[in-house]
This record gives sequence, C-alpha cells and structure tokens, in this order.
Amino acid sequence: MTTKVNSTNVKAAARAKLERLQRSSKFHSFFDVAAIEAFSKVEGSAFAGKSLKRGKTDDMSPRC
Amino acid sequence: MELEILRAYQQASREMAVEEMAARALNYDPALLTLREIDDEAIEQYEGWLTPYDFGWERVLTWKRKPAHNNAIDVAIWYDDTLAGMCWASPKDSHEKVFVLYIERNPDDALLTRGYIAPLSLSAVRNYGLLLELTYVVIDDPIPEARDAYYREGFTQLAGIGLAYDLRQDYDGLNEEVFENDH
Repeated sequence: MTTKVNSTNVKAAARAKLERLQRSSKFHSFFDVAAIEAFSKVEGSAFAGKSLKRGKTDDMSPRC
Repeated sequence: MELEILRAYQQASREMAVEEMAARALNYDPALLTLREIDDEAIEQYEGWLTPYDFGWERVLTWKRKPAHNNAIDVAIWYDDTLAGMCWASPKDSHEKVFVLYIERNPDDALLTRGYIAPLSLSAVRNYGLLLELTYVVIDDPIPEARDAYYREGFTQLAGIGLAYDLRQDYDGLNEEVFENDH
C-alpha cells in the first residue's frame, strides 16, 4: 500500500522552515537597496542565460 | 523525491520570496505581486516582449511535462497582471548545487519591477536550494554587465564552481538545530 503525500502539509512545513531561516541573525536578504539599484542599472533585460541565437542584437521584433 | 513533494517545495519557495520582499517594505504594492509557475498565460505575454534575447522560454512548457525536469523550479513573476519576469533553475544531477539557467525581466524599462526581478528570482531559488538541502546557488551564464549586482547579493566567483552563493552563510546555530529537528 502506498502512502499519498499530503502536499498541503509538506508546503506548510516547508514554509515554516523558511520562515525560521529568514528570522535568523545571519540571514542575508536579497532585497538590499544597493543590489536592487545595481540590477536596475543593467541596461539589458537579461541577468542570466545564453541566447539560443543572438543574430542581430538590434532585432526587437516580438517573439511570435 | 516524489513529485508532490517537489511541487510543494517549489510553491513554498515562490511564496516565501514574495514574503521576503514584503518584509523589506519596499516601494510597491504587495497585493499586486505574485510568483507562479510558468504557464501558457506567461508564454503568451512573453511572446509580445520586444527583447533581443532568445532564451526559448516556450520550451519550459514542454520541459515541465518531462520527468527529467521534475526537480527544476520555474518562476513567473506577475505584477498587476503584467508578466514582469521569468526564471528557470535546476539542480540537474547535482547533490550540492542548484543552477540558475535563465533570468529575464520584461524589457519595458518603465515597469516598477525592473530592479526586483533578479532578487525575487534568486530568493525563490535560494529557498528551493535550502529545502533540498543543497550548498550553492550557481549562476550558469551570468550576463557580464550584471556581475557587480550579483556580487552585491553575496555571490562570489568560486574556483571549480563558478559565480555562486554559499547557502551555508545563512545558517546560524539555531537554524542548524531547527533543520536537524526537521529530519
């Protein structure tokens, strides 16, 4: 007989674990004002990833 | 790990990223911000983005149906019914790293969320890495211009690993005790 995972309970436990971590004295938030400003100054709209094909970098046509 | 557990971890990771941002009381309306899975609606909006990048986000819909990608986390960031950004990360076969493969924001520079997409994405991925008890968040292909911003977030260039955030730096003695008790 298999035991079905109660995903609601798993999610609640996961959230509780992360809440405890976020309250810890050593927790470093990624929402630091200087970091947000640094990301907002990046001219392009990507922060990570390799384009499948860059082609003409000024190609600004919609994806569809 | 069972798919239901992974899905619960992924959703908890997204939700707690929103709560982490809300706790910082930044200049936005938290009621308008949601982090969800990348779905048809997200891809539909993405197809209208005027972006020079082609990360092939539409592939995510196919990847999400394949068991090989069950442990990957996908994040669609919505603000006021506008797709503000997306992220895809996966531990692949690693037992110590979760790799951030793609982060892209909506190219509309006027959007309020411009500077928040990477921090929101990184927060969700960090949460997921912590729940999977991994050690590093690694940026697979950082955009060179964004490196300084990653350094400000505590990422460092580690030999043999790459641009990485060591998740152990967020633990204090209490966390370790708490995490042990959870096992």
